[in-house]
This record gives sequence, structure tokens and C-alpha cells, in this order.
Amino acid sequence: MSDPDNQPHQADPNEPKRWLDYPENVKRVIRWFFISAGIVALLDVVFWKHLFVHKHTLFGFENFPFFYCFYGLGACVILVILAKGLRKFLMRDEDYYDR
Amino acid sequence: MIVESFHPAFILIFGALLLAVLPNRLRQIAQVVIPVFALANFVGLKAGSEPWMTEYLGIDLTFVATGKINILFGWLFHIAAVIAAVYALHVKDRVQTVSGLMYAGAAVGVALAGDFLTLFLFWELLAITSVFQIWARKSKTSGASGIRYLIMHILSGLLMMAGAAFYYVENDGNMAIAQMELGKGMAPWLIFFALGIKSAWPFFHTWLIDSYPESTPTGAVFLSAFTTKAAVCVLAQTFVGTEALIWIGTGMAMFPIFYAVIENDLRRVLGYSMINQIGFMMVGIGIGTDLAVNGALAHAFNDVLFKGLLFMSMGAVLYRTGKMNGSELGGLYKSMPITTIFCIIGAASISAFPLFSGFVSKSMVMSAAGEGGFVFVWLCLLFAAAGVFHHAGIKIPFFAFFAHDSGIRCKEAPLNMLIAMGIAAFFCIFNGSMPDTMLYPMLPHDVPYEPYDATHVITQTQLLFFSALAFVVLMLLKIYPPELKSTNLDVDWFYRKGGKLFYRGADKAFNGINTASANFFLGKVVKNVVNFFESGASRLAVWALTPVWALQGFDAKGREEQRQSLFKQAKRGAFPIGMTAFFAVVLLALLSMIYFFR
Repeated sequence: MSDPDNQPHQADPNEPKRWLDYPENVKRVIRWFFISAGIVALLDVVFWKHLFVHKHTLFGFENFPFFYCFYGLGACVILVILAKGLRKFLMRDEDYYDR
Repeated sequence: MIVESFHPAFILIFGALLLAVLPNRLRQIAQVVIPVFALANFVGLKAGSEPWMTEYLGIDLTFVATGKINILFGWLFHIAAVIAAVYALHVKDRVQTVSGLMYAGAAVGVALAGDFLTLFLFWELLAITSVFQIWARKSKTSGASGIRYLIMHILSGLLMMAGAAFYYVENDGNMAIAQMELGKGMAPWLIFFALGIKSAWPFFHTWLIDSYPESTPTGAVFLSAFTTKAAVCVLAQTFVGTEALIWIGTGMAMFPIFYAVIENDLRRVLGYSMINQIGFMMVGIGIGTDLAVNGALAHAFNDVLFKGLLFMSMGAVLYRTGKMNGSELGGLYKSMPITTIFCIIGAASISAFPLFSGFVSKSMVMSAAGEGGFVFVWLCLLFAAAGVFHHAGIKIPFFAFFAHDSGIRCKEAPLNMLIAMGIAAFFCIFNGSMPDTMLYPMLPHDVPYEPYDATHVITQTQLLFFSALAFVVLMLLKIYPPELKSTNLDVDWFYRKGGKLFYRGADKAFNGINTASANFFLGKVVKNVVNFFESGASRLAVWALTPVWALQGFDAKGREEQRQSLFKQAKRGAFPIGMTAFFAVVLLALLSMIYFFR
């Protein structure tokens, strides 16, 4: 990497803090996220009894209330827990193949 | 066409030769002008126009086929060539720039090939030109990784060559690329697996995971655009409706996401998510209905652009910081805000957020799977769609640009990289929000599909928000696996570690035999002859390989190391390349025997 502009360096300790550096702001972002997830979930109501929108589905189980919410949440929790378990079998040191 | 009677691929290939000799300033200009000119020239080639054919030794060859699939991939590879060339504008290493543009040319050649002989020639060129993007990294590990990559792709080339030969015999001298059926003769099987290796099917996928993270920051952008998509292009013309592909694709969509969650090297995470995306394409081709094939091809088109964008953003991070592990990065949004935005656009596209490109193509494959009644496949794909958001959509931008601040400060990515990312980002949003303008009209089948209906938008948003919710909750509860410096075992263990065990065993056995025979003969003459042949062969090999090492970019010290290791291997009687050649010969011999004694 010959580019003279490539000079990664450590941050100056006196560097002014950014908005996301304050923990209360991170908490705020997370709170907004929870609220918007709740709103997105509530959108499911428009399908109930085909009140507003006729839900175009291919399978019966798709009509189960909040099906996509449960599936997304469940899939990712299972994914992470299984993957974490896989580490026990698969994880080696970084230089494993070089030894 | 501006250039009549000139194969579009050769504009790029001969243009690449020009890059080798021009002085640096002019080289930079030519590097952009050549692919842009090639693209402008390609605009004139319309689907359904007269193909370019010729007869050679009594075989009808089609250099430029003009089916809708050929033209679609021709467009795609030209666009990718322009983007990658702009992205790599600052690279001064000639080996990389020249081979990169040739590689793009080879991909165009594959896309337009109308017969298996033409296909084979470009297929080999694709393998050979691409490996320099890995070797050019010149790191401790990239040399060996490049060799492993090349072995797999030469194997694919051999299978393709044997397949083409069988195809010629089994089809009475007709070489035209056409729909095939597995089980009807040898040719379909051989070609099927040749394509399988290149499209990174499970058990053949390790070359991708192994080598892409070893390539240069710009190399991964080239690599991610062409090789696997060239295979998808040919599969969509030959094995439509082959049921095996549905299951292969489902496997590809599922298994990599588990690896991606625990992988630390962020470009390797992208490699896994690439296999996951190709899985969707395989399922689409396997189902084989008009909607499914359209979906597979639309997704291939979008994938080149959003995966390219993600690889470009990570390449910029690697270029500026020299680091690529999630455990060492974080907080880079402060130093590279524009790259951060582009990365998020790529992440939103791969995750199929409404208005981004993945949304309009992934769902076509899903709908086709549902309409075909493949409930299990559909549930797996939905799982994979949630999972890909989790690891590519959230993990990549989060650990590189946010997470805990690593304290690393650097400059924003160079201007040429930002422009290249900008072009890709534009296409991600453009194809995502206006698919009827460019993307859908290019697809081969005329089936109406409307991605933006209320059900689809709402359910997809729910799926994604709740996948993100899982990430946030698991993070807050500290259940989410931390990024750790590690290597995760994959099936390449069998030839990387298993191979070493075999080496050691062979070392013991062969040296044992050596000692035993030396004891048996005891004669000095015999010993001298043995010595002569032993070191004679390695001298010859060193003489032949020195220019190759020089090309790979080893300096004098590196060459000396290579020489020592070669002598060591010669003592053990174990040449990896010689072995491959040997196996290739055995394979060919076996094939011809099967054919003649059938």
C-alpha cells in the first residue's frame, strides 16, 4: 500500500465527542428502534379479517397473525445460538493453517 | 456496433494489453476509457440480432450468441468492468491492472459464448487471469491460497473440456450450448460439475472462502463480480428445471449464514454471504419456471452490484487501515462517513429492504418456490433471507463503522473508490425502486411481476425489523458471540490439514523406502544416480518456476524461500502442481476409458 495518504493513527484523546459517543444517545437510538419495530408489527392489523388489504399469501400459515415478525425473530435467535455452538467445534487459532 | 466484426470481449482483452505498455498517467486514462468504450460499443448489440458464427474444422462455432441471457450478462459484466476499473484506478501494479481487465474480457466472452468450444476457451482464460488478483496481494498466505484457487479452477476447466468433447460426440458434432438433461450421456454430468465448481456449490465452495479474503483490496471487487456469475449465466442456459439444483441451492442458502455469524474477517463474511445469494439463484434455475428463472437472473444482476458495493466498501477500509478483522475495527464512521453510507446502501440492498435492489429480485425466486409448492425450500429461503440481513446487512456495517470505537483514524477513501461505489450504489437504488425501467425488460421471459404490493412490502419489513430486533436484544443481553481472532474449520480442512498429515505419512513412507533401498543396494553408483535424478529434477523445476515466482511478485528473498521449499518438497517427492497435473491426466485417462468401454 504505497499511498502516502494511508496513515491510520490512533485518535487524539482530546478529540471532540460525537453525538453517538454519549451513552444516553445510544440508548435513545435503541428506544426509537424498539418503537418503530412495534409500529411495523402493528401494521399486521391491516390484514386482519382482510379489513383493509387482502393479504396475498401462498401458504395458510402466512395468515397467522404476526407470522413474519415471529419468523424473523425466531430465525435469528436460532441462527445465533446454533452458530455460537458451532464455535466449539470449528474454532481454531488464527494461524491454525500456517503451523 | 461501433466496431463491426470485432468480438466485444476482445476490446477488453486487447485493451488490457495496451495498459501494460502505456506510461502511468495515460494508463489511468485508458483504464477507464477502454471499458467505457466497450460498454458503449455493446449497446449496439441487441438481443435476437444475428449471432456471429463461423465454421472451424466442420464445427459450427458461435462466438457471439445473442440470446436474452447472453445480452443480460454481457451488459452486467461490462458495467462491472467499468466500476471495477474506476475503483482500481490508483493501483500502480501492472500485473493487477492488466490481468483485471483481461479477466473482465474473459467473463464477457463466457457470457456471449454460443458453443462449448468457445465457452471452454474463455472459461480457461477466466481462471488464469483471475488468480493474479489474489497473488498480487503478495502476503505470506496469498501465494498458497492462489495456488489452491487455481487448482480448483483448472479442475473445473478440465471437466469442461472433457464435457465439451463428450458433448461433441454425443450430439453428432453439434457444439451449440443448449438445454441438457442429467443422465443422458456423460457430457451433462461433466459440464454440470464444471459449472458447480465455479458457482461454489457446497464442498466445492472453499476456493471462494479461502481466496477472496486473501486478494488485494481491489482484487476482491473484480473476483466477486465475474467468476461465479459466469457460471450462473451458463447454468441458466443448460440446466433449467434440474431438480438437483433446488436442493443444492437450498443448502447454499442455509449453511454459510452460520459460518458468517462467527467469522471475524469481514471480507470472508461477504464471501459466505455470496454463496448464500448464489443459493437463491440455483434454486431459481432449479425450479425452472419462467418466473423462477427471471428471478435467478435478476438476482444475479443485482448481486454483482450490491456485493461489489460491499466488497468495495470493505476494500476501502482495508486500503486505508490495513485491517479487516471485525475485532480490530469499529468507529470508522468518524473517519470514512461517505464509505459508511455506501456500505449501508449495499447492506440494505442485499437484505432486500423495500426500494433497494435485493427486494425486487429475491422475492421472485421466493414466490416461484411458493407457487411450485416447495414449502420446505420456501421456509429455508425465508430463514436465509432473515439470516443474510443479520450477518451481511447488520454485522458488516456495524462492526466496521460503529460498534465500539477502535480509536483508528484515517482518511476517507480515495476519490476514484468513492466514484466507483457511487455508481454501484446508484444502480442498487435505481433497480430497487424502478425495476421496470431497466432490470425487468432485460429478463428472458415475459412474465408480469409486481414486487411492490402492500403484502410484500409490509411482510418483508416485518421480517427485517424483527431480525434486527433479535440482533439488538442478543447484543444487549451479551449473548451475541463477540468477534474473536480465529480460524473456523470448513471442508478445506481435508486438503489443507489432512493434506499435511498425508504429506507427513508419505514423507515417512517414501523416505523409509528410500533408506531401505539404499541399504539394499549399498552401492555408491546407485546412490549417485539417485542423487543426480533427485536434485536434477528440482534444479529443472527451479529454472522453470523462477520467472513464475517473479511474476507472482516475490522478491529475491521470497524466491530463495520458494526455492528452499521446492527442494524440500522434491526430497519428499511431493509436488503439489505436479500432483494436480498427474490427477488431471488420470482423470482424462479414466474418462476416455469410460467412454470407449461403455
